[in-house]
Amino acid sequence: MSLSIKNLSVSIGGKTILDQVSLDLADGQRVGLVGPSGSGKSMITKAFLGLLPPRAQASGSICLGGKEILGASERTLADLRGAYVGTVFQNPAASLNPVLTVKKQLTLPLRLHYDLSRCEREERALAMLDKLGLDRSVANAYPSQLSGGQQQRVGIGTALITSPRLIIADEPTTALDSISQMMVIELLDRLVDQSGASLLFVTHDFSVLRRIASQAYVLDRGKVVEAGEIQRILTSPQSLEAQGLVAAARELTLAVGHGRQPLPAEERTS
Amino acid sequence: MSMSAMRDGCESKAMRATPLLEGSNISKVFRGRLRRLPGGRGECSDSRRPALDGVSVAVRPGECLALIGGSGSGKSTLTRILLGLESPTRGRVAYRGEPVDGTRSEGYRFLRREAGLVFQNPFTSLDPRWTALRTVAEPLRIQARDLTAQMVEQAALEALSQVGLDPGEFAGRYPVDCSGGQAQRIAIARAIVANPKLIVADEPMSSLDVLSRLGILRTFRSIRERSPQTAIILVSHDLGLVQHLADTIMVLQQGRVQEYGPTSTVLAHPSSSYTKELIAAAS
Repeated sequence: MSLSIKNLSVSIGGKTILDQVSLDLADGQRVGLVGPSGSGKSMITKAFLGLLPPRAQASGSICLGGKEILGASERTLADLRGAYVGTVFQNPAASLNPVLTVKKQLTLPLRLHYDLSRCEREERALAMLDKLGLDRSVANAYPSQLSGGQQQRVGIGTALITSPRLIIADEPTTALDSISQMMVIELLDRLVDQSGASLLFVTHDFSVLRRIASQAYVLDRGKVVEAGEIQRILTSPQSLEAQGLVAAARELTLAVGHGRQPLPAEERTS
Repeated sequence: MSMSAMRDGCESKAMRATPLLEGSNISKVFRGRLRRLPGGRGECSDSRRPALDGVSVAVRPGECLALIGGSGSGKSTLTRILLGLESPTRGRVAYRGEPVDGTRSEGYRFLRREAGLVFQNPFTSLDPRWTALRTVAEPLRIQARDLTAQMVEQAALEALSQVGLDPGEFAGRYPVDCSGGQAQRIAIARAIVANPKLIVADEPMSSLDVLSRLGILRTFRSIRERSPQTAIILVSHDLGLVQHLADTIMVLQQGRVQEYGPTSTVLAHPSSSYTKELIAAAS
């Protein structure tokens, strides 16, 4: 599903959070939103999910699948979210309902948005557990009985159970240890590939983003400061902000990878 | 001198020196606890698997030791035991050769006086009602009672400056007015203000974005350059974060040591499959 944001500005209490942001995501494309804390990347996802704080004032245009959604009613947004958009949040421990079992968690979006029998919903939940690489016995577990990596897999399953056409992943690996991060990225990569959905991946880290997306928008203080192919940004970042993020990713990435493609070297322009 | 040359020098010197903090054959078993869950169901955690199983570790003056492992590997439990905040089920801890065994032990008293601690989340480790100056000055107020208020304030301002924060701008700030990286630097300033012999940092970068992580990493490097005799224990799940800082790496998995040796050896010739996975994840 395509997403087109034009000149989106958001302010809260007179403070500008987003300033004339434009972004395009074509059907089936994978795009990254990358920027440091406070750059406004999560605010963009909140804007088109209809989750802006009540005091926020937004202007511009957000078209989801050709339909204008900025200022749409809560009912319209809820229907769009349920049927077409799946969201994976940063902290799985906070985004999963602690009093629902994994099975109930996975079947909830189906119960809310689709007319399926209980048996069909449960069948789909168990099939999703297989896709997530989780044992079917996990179906009756509660989030607190799972590791962080397992919780995030359930979070991904909950987002993908309705076969959404657009998947939003808002820093889905930040709260995990490095091995769980890698497993979650590989899982998301595979499932998005199988579904053919569009992906908007939000992160602060190019070393994570390069594993899952091909295009990126770099944000800083509410503005898009650079956009383009990730490979190009990694080798020759134009803006100072992108240069800082690329340098940080490079310095914090091991250069002795075993069997993994290292971050490409920066091009010398002198 | 380059950081790697300095690190190599430190590696060999550190290996020869007497350990500052030493844990021998440490095991820890937490008693199983029944977790009541909604609907009357419950799960009993496995009480037989030790959180730590026969771990021996030593850190020498000037050495930077990285404790690496995923969630549940036992690295935080080991850190708490080394600091005397938790008792081991078996094994012993010694600081400057004195046993760390309860709050009245000589080793514990030395350790608490001479160690600076940095925690994962600066916003929960800093008092939200205290300014940066008051927070950073606190260890000196407690430990160096012979210093005048003016001397304490001066030392706190210098510590803020050492971690890259402008004292004029940050001394009066509260945690809520700081970014995550700035708040963590205030926590580091508090840890170094009393010239500790040992700094223990438990996942100091994991709640921060990459730019702040890099800033904190550089702050630790500068501390090492300024205070070459200060030992550092850095707890992390990410080998990439510690590669340029640590002299020695210990990799823990499910409470057991998978790898323990000089950073260059562990990274170039990992012997366990778990370490290889960690390297792949950080590459």
